[in-house]
Amino acid sequence: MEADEYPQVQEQLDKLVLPALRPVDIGALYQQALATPTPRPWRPRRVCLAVSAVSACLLLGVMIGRCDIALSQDGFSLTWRKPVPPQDPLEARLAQLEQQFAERSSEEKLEELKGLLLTLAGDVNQRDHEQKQALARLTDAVNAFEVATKVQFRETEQTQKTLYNALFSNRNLKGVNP
Amino acid sequence: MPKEPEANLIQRWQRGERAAFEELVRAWEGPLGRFLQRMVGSTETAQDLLQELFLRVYLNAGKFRDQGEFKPWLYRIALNLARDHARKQARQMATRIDFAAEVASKSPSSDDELSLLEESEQVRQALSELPEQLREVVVLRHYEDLSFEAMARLLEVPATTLKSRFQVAMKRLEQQLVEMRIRDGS
Repeated sequence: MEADEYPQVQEQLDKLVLPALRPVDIGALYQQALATPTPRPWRPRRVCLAVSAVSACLLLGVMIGRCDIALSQDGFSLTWRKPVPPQDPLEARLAQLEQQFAERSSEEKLEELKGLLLTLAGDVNQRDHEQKQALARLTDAVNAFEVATKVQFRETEQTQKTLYNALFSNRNLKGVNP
Repeated sequence: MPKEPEANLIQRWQRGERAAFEELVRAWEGPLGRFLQRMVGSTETAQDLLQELFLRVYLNAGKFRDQGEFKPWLYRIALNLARDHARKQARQMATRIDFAAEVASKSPSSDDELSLLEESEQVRQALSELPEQLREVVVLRHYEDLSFEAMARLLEVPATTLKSRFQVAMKRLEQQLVEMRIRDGS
């Protein structure tokens, strides 16, 4: 045994004198047991009440957030605010730009309008130039087609003439009945 | 009349028979009281804790299982009470009552008896100066004669750790007791 390594200590430990204790007072113990509150079992009713309370608080919070309270000379008024419809992102951007524009000074607005006009003019010029180019291309194509048609016409005329000559230049040949 | 087996007493107690509970109290109040005295170092505190211990046992009758061992269950409750008390005492810095002074006040004192009481007081002091973890091991091993395996189950600490703690505790006690003897000139 490990304690054998310390026989003197063991011997000393045995010298510890303990005063006798009084016997346990069982009567007092029963009294204490009666006075001790027993832990209450889990009750679904309590949980339901707690859940209901939390839900009611949440609902109240939402309602307060949606109500407009106003105090005027006529008296106290409480109005229900309509929910804000979700905005289209493009419309939202436009509204934002409009707001930004409204916030600027007249000088800035004029500058911006000038810029906008120049942009529009540039855009018109660009489009005009493109249309002119397209028209020129079309004219060139029509002219080329006309030339080609003329050439074709001349060639056809030439062919016809050649054929005619070929047929009618041999009319005097004997034994030939055209 | 032969003594009724403890298992029967426990069954009767769990069925609500007060007589069985009282028999169990009488059977265990001595060892548990001494254990608490050694752990807390004060008779009055041990007396209060002993009462509290059996109150807990009474209130937790339904929690003790048949297959469980009764002695370790009782000692676990006692140990928890002693630990709770040590924690409270560390906060409140309560004063302790000397066993020697108590015993001396109740019994006639000859020189030999006084000498024994002095030695007892030295042991009590040395024990109380040990850290709680080491004191637990010494009390359970030396005074309650529990094996290291049984202590491991009770304290939920590996037996090897408890063996090392016991070695350390014995070494410290030896040093302290030597220092005390030199200091007291005995």
